[in-house]
Amino acid sequence: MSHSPTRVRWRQLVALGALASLVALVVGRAHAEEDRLALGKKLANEGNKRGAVACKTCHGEDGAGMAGSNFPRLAGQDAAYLETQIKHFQGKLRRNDLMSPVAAALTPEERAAVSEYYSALRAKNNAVANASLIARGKELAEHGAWDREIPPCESCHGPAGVGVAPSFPPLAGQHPRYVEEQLQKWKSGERSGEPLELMSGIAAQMTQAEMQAAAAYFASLPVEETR
Amino acid sequence: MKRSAALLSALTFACSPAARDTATSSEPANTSSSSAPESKYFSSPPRSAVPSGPQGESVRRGEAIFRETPRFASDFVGNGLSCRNCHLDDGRKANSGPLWAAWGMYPAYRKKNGHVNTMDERLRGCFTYSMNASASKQGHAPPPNDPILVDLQAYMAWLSKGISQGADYPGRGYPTLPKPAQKPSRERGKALYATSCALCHGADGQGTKLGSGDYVFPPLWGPDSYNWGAGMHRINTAAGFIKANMPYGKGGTLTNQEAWDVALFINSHERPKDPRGKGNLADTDAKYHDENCTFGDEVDGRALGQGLPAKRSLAKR
Repeated sequence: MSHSPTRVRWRQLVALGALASLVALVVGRAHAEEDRLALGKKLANEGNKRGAVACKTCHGEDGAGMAGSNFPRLAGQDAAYLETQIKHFQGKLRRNDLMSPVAAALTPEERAAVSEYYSALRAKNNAVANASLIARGKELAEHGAWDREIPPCESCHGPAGVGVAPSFPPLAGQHPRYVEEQLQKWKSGERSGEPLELMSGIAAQMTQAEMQAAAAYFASLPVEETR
Repeated sequence: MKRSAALLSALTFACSPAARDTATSSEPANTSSSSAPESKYFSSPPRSAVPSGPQGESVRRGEAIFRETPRFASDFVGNGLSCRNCHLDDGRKANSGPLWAAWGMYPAYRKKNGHVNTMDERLRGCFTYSMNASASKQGHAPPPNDPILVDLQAYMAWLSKGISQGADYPGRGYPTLPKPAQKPSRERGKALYATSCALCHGADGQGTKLGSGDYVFPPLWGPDSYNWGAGMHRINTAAGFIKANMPYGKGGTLTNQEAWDVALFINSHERPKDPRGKGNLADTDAKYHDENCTFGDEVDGRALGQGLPAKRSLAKR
């Protein structure tokens, strides 16, 4: 059975309209994402002039963090994970003299934008690992110390520390001073807010030497630069 | 053949009666061994002590198979599980089915199949049920004396260096939990699963994989998990494992009631079929399943135990 020409035209019009809205929606979304990334980039490079200095000051232009420092690598971290960490600084579950005031100066929109921006960056591993500690760290990372309820680090952070989004951050290429300091903060209770209090429970069992060794091992691992 | 593989797995103790179905006898002789002097459990030699030469190479291959079973025993693994998922610390951890406590108990009579089993056969059982070998490339467990089984046994024997044959060591199998005060509840189990298990095993119990397809956290039900004949599908067995070992790094923190509730919830989902079942569900239920499992129960309007088609995704490597 055939349709009248008018009816067909009407249908075509509706289809065209639907297509146009779809295109508008997709383009709109793409724009929104571009806008967010642009905002993230601006924050990273210039700060917001309201108390948040440029992120790159400490975290580096490419997000690789600063060699030899406790300024962590952010490039390639899961965006939701990064955003949660900023929230934790804002809520004082994490504290750091440099980072806390910066986090406090970010709006929710800025928080999301800058997290997304760093998540999308890729950067070479610029961490400096203490070679003499790597073997001991590898042992702990791959096998844990179960007699003290310390699971292998890689059982949650993934083989070779690649990370398991969104809750278990990549550790490969992370700066050892930073990792060690975080483990100490978990142990002392200065850092909290992680799911199931898993990391604080494990850190509480770790010795100083184990923290240093694990940090050295992960610092020595290659990072995925092109994911 | 390539590197062999396979496993020992996990979930070992099967579906019929209790988690330990071998006859037990004597008391443990020494709980000794190397380091960790204050431990009440047997301890295996350190990894650094694996000898060089052909014997040591077999031990190392066995350990690799144990750690990454779908990779190193790919022909015979039909799901996403590795031995070490249920035998933590690569088979060393007490109360997590440690290999050193099992090694000296075989050959042993098993109610599950009604005859005396060598360790070789016992390991094949792990493949058949816990690794769902019928969905693997070969479609069955490694044949008797396959290099995979030889390497796994070399690894077990090495972990068991110094044990007394036939001794029932503390920490063997999983702990037997007393029946909980309240009847286990799926609803309570579901709530606990969401807060304490989903972080790693996923909201839908399907585990967490990397982009490579490798599981970091194992699936607890569905096509890539253990089948209806594996020991872990039994609620009492799973409850004992969970209580002693879950979540990672927090073993012993759940109450007995919580462990039973969440074990019931996890094991009230569909999974690959019981390879022993030849006839209809009711026959298989009557012949192989008892009150400690949900096989044949109706959940969400559908009788459990019908099985799931295999997911072929794993075979790609």
